Amino acid sequence: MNTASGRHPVEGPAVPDLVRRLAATPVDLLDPRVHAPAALADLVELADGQPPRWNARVISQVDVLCGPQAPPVARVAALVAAWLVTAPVVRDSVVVRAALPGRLGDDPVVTAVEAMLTGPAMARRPHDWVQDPDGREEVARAFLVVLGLRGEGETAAESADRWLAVSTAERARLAGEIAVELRRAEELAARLAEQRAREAAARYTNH
Amino acid sequence: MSDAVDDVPTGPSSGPSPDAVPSPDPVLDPALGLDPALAEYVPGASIALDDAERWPLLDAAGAGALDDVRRHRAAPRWRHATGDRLVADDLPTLDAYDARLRDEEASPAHALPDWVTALVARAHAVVPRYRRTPAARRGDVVALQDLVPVTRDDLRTDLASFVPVDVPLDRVLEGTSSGSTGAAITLPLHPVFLVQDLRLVQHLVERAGVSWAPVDGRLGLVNLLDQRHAYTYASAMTGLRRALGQPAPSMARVNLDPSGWDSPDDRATYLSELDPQVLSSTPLALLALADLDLDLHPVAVVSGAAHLTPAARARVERTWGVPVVDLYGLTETGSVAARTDDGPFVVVPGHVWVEVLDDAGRPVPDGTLGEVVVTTDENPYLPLLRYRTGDRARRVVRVVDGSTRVELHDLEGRAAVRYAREDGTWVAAVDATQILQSYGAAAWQLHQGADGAIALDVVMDAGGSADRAGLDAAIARTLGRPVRSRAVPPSVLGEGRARRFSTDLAGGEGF
Repeated sequence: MNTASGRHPVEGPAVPDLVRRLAATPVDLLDPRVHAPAALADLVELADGQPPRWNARVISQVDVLCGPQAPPVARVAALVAAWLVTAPVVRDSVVVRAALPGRLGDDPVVTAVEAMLTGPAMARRPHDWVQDPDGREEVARAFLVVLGLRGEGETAAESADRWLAVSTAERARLAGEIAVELRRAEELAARLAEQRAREAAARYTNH
Repeated sequence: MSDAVDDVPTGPSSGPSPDAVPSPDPVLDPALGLDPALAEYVPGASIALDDAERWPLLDAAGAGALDDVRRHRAAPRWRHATGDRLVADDLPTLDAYDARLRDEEASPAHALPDWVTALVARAHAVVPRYRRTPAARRGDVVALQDLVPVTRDDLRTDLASFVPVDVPLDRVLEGTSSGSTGAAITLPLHPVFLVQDLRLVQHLVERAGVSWAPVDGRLGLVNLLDQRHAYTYASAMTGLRRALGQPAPSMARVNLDPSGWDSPDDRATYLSELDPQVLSSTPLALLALADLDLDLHPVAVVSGAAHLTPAARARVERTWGVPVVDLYGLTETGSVAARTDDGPFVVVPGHVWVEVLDDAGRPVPDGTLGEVVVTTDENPYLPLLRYRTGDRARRVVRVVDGSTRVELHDLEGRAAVRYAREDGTWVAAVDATQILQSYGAAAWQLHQGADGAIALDVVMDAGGSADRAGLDAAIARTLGRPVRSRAVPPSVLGEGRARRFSTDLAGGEGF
């Protein structure tokens, strides 16, 4: 998968379209009691117009992602991701299809869902993907990030900057960096003050 | 490590060696006539280490030589004690620096060197000022030319943002720089960075055809000043490149001003008997030393901190008949360029990259006058990318004797200025600097007219240390005449490259 460090990301779907899709997520998909593999298959069928034909590898993949052994949060996340990925604007995108890696026989929806669940979107609770405006944008952009795409109408820099602004992980990383810098600034000031009271070092030239 | 008798303690934490000379009690000089604002110059005020901490690498022979220098019967009134703070792990770093000097002499870079590109990338990863930029956060590759130049004010207002977050701060030393805007700024200096300056001097002196091998009984180097108040000390140059087993020669920082000596004869006796091999000083102090007509036999002279005029160079060369290295640099950047004649300066080897930019920060064509902007990473605590020096020059790339070099022509830095008291004696500008800074002046222009009248335009620091009334009185005392003083807004003084010190009085500037 490409990452945000891709230098010339291709234009993908528009972020507002993805955000609207997430806002319209059926409430049933957020219920952890729903049989997620079956619901996922239903979403694929709705999008394709026919039941999915999953081989053993894909079935196993689905089971790992959202089967009975998967944590409830993962099951909900898989269904919300599938909802997003089966949006017409995504399903019909040649660019998205080209960006999805996969082997013969893979289901592109399942592949995309797996990428979402192993990507930065999981920094938020799945319910926030739907119910929180910032969460919706973060997940929409996380989807583009894992595919190495930029939002429609955005430059690479705009897309990257906006991702950095909404990404929970990036904000946490930034907060961590800032905390380090503040500690360093305090330490530097303290050491310089201490050195002012001690000796510096010999100088050999004059500037 | 072997247990040979010449072995030295490794690192400041190893404690005093049995062979180390106990620290003498500082010979404290009564601070008579010291302006109350200059408390830092009270002798011994900042002495806190023992000899093992000052010179972890000093062996018994070197300690003995140092003691001879410190306790010489005609020694000056030492106002300070300090060492080089080098440890064994620093020596390979210094040797690597020597190798860089040799390599870059052999093939000097006139196109952007790889180390600059690497520095830009590193800065965007670990230097707060750069890593918090949108480009860094996106992971973009940034070119040096896209970076906004750094000013002294940037360092003054947010120093920590220029210090890499991945360099341990345990070796940091505090340095200060006055610069052309006036107010002093605090800088983090690494001991190795300071000793690299010594290695550079060795390299330049040898390139001038001089052999500088330590001689028992002689000072290796004297750092000479001529001002009313100064830190003076003796130190051992354990970082000097020398033959294996040779003891570290000593150096001394000495003030020519009579106030630094118990008797006038002591100054002549001390300098003549210890006969420093290298005289490192400023133009005015070198001329003052030449006037003393002492029996000195240096192998080389190093001049810095102010413009060395052709007349001054001629006088110095005539007096001692040895190469005179004119060294240009800043405390922030270290040495930047050097010359051994009245021609252009040549950018020094090592990790120093020079551009010349216009006021808007755009590169000017080679040969066009503009501001000297320096990129360097020799100080691990303060890598600087496009640092505005406040000095102006023309950058010219030339091939000389088959070798390409980067020259700085018509370098306009600080002229050596002095002020005449009513009694006819002279006061160096640096003495006024100390007073101005101590009373909270942030920027200033101090001018002496052709009639001797002194005018001071001053911008006072907004902080609590500003004492305008005290400043006016202290400046008048220091300059020995009335001063017409007025407080002005910064805009009156201009962009910071305005001359801090100027004079229309004959004999007051350059010679």
